[in-house]
Amino acid sequence: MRDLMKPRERKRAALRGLLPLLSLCGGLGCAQLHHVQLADIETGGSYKKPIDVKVSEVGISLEEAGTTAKLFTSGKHHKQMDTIQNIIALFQYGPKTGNPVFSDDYADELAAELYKQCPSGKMTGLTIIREARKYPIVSGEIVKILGYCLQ
Amino acid sequence: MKGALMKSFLYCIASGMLVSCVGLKTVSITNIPQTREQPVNAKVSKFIFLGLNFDNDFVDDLKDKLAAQCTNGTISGILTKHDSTSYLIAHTVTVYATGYCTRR
Repeated sequence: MRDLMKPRERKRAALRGLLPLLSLCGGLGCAQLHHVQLADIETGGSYKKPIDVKVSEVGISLEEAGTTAKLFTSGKHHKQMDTIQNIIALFQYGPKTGNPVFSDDYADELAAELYKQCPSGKMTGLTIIREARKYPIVSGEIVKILGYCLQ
Repeated sequence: MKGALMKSFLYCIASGMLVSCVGLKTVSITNIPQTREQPVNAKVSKFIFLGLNFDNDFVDDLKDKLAAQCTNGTISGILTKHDSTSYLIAHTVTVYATGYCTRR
């Protein structure tokens, strides 16, 4: 029995060794671009002050969390974890951009932030970017607006 | 005979992968102007190997590239298209923007 367990233990040890390497790579934060949109652009004319607004929220990948948890638990718990993962997946079924977040209210602040940076409200060349920074298990779900404020 | 068939089938799949597949991610458009005499267009792209991409700053140049083609005017009717071309172990993200320059 002990001999039969050896390859499995070896595999688990190898995976544990691989995990810090993957974490290091993931820790750097891979950027994923979801959406880009340009608004009308005014060229020439009055002075333009650059504006840069960014809002973000923490997203969680339960699939990755489950896979990582499996590496640190014994085989008898894997089936239970699969069941939990499947139940959660049913609640999160449907189209989505990036990892799920607890609330999407973070994007509501964008307009107020834009007016804070450009009180005149005369903006041009707005680039709206929806992107994500992916780390192991978690991600930063980001909405960014770049542009110019006409003075 | 069977081996040769299998080999040709694999070559077909491999060449299909190298030719690459394009996925359209998003499209958006702004109000189209009445006069559309001077079209302007710009493109930015980034080649990403093994999915290792640490920033999306390449997109920031897009509006400046468009603005450079229309001095002292307004660019409107901007169609922004974002797509991704997948290769075997890499992919290219491209953002196209086309619009119309209206001089003052």
